[in-house]
Amino acid sequence: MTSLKLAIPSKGRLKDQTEAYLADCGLRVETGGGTRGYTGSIASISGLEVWFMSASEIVRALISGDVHLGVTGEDLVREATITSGDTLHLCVPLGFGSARLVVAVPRFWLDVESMSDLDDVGAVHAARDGRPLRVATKYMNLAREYFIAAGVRHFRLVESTGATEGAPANGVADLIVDITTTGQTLAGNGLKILKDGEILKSEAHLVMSKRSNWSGHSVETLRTLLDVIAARRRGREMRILTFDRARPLPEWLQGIDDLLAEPGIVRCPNSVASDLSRRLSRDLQSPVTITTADFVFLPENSIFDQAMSAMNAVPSS
Amino acid sequence: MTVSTISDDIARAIGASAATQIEPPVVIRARPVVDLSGEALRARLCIFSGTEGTEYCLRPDMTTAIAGLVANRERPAARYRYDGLVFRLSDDPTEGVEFRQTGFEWFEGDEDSTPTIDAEAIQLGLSALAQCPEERCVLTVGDVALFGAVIDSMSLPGTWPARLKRAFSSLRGPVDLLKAAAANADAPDQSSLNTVLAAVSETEAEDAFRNLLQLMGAQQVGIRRAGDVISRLRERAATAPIPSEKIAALEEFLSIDTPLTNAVAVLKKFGKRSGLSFTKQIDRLERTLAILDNDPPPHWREGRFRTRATHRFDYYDGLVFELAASGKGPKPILAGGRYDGLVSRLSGGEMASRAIGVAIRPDRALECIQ
Repeated sequence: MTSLKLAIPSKGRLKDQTEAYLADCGLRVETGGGTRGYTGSIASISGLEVWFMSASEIVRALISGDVHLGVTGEDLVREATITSGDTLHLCVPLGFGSARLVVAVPRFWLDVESMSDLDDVGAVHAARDGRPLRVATKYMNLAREYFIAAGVRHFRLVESTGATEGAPANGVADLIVDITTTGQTLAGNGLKILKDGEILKSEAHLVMSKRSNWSGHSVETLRTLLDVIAARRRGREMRILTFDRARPLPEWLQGIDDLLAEPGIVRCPNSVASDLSRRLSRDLQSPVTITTADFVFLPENSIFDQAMSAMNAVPSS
Repeated sequence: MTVSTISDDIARAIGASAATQIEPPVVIRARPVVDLSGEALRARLCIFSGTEGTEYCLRPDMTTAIAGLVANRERPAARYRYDGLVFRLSDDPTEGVEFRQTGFEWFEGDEDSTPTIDAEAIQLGLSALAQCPEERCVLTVGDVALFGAVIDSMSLPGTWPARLKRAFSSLRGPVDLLKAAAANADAPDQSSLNTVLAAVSETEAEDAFRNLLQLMGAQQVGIRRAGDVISRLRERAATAPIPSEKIAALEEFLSIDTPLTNAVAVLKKFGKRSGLSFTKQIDRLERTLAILDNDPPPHWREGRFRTRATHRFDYYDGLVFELAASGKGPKPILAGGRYDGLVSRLSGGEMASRAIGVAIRPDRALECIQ
């Protein structure tokens, strides 16, 4: 029987946030047996193995198909997709791990504000010093594509293995392309972000591998997992309004989107719950109570459907 | 008919001109190639590191390899022809890594002989592809030197000439830069910092700048010195925006796309209307086109002249031309052009030679024929 393998980050903030997210869905991760703690499980879902891996390992394992699912950043997925082709599918954004991939230059470059300034400066330096501007980054593919699309020709990429933001100070590079959340690390290293220097916004996603062995019960397990995740998302976004069942529902309720209305109970999006309740209460001359919905299960699951069409779209290679 | 037989046919047709067959090295140093064509090509190179850390690559085309031999004086400036494999990674999964390229590189000539040589090169290249049905192919001709001449005759302020010329062979072309220039015309770069720095002496500017950095808490890191930043800021203050009628003239020039038979007339009319003079280049082009009109090779009659035409490499500095299968996108069957400055660039100024080359992809020629 093929277990569904789910890879999650093995350390750091991302590990904590992933486990908190899953716990919030009622899917607490239990560390498995063995002294090293490389594997685990989720009590409420059978046929699922949790693997703890580093961020870069997760992407590699998804591309090779060694794991079916993984929690990783969109930035890493997009970087890998450029060379590895269409093997990954972003199933659902998880709402944490947000960051931006940006082009950052030394702050004292007061004459450089945009990518086209970079091209000018690069050309001058290439002509004068015989070598182009060096850009340190872990995101070689994304950086290259962005620079070329922006019309910057005179640059050379230098692969960064450690703290990219230290590269200019170390003399290893002249500017960088790096991920940033608050921007504080960049500022602390004397760097500023170009005004058109945002390459992409990224957040943690549940990512699916099209190349994995999806035989046996793995697809069923995927369905279960995605159903719970989707239900929890919907639950978080919805509120339940309860009131006297005997009162007839007013006409105007029909005109509102995303609403489930029955005698005595209405389910609506969070954002309209308060206004709706007040209006309903006055119309019905009845108390209206708002409660949260923990999970809202529906018979269809579009997240699962999208994952399935992505899976079937790829010819086996 | 196979790629092999087509290659042989093409090679034989090219062999009719007096040129020495050459087989440049397959493995070459990567540095000169990357320096020439930048990161865009680097992703496509079959590149590897030698034991001593130097980067090598498999030749991505014949031009750089052969021009390199001439630049190093390993071979004399002369006419060469080739027929061999080149190696490039493609993001199109249907394309392989190695493919055959047949063509020639001629290192010879002077200013007077350029039109004759240009015409001869086009004649030879197109004749070698006589088997490709004319109705399936599109010939495009351009002249990189024309844009430079137009810019020079416009007397644009500050750094605009250099920037526009650089933009010509970049991916987006100069049109975006012109749009930005038009937008800037309303809000010129006259920030108080630039004007202040431009108004004082260099020493005072440097002092002011260092004080500013200290206030900002910004350190100087990396290759650029404070002096670099200051001179560029002063330059920006001194660079006036491009007058809108000059932007319009440049946009008009760049939009020229006309049958070859009309090209010279259209260019002369543009010159007259805009008051710009680039007669030397037009006369040269006129001579080249006249020779070919007199004895048109295959594909010539339906050809078009486009001022925007260029190859991705900025070492082309004269006539450029390309024969592509219609509707096949940027995958030319034949690509050629003049690059008089390349040998000098590769040799660091030690050696110079005018040059023109033509490269043919027999696999694409075969696809067109079948």
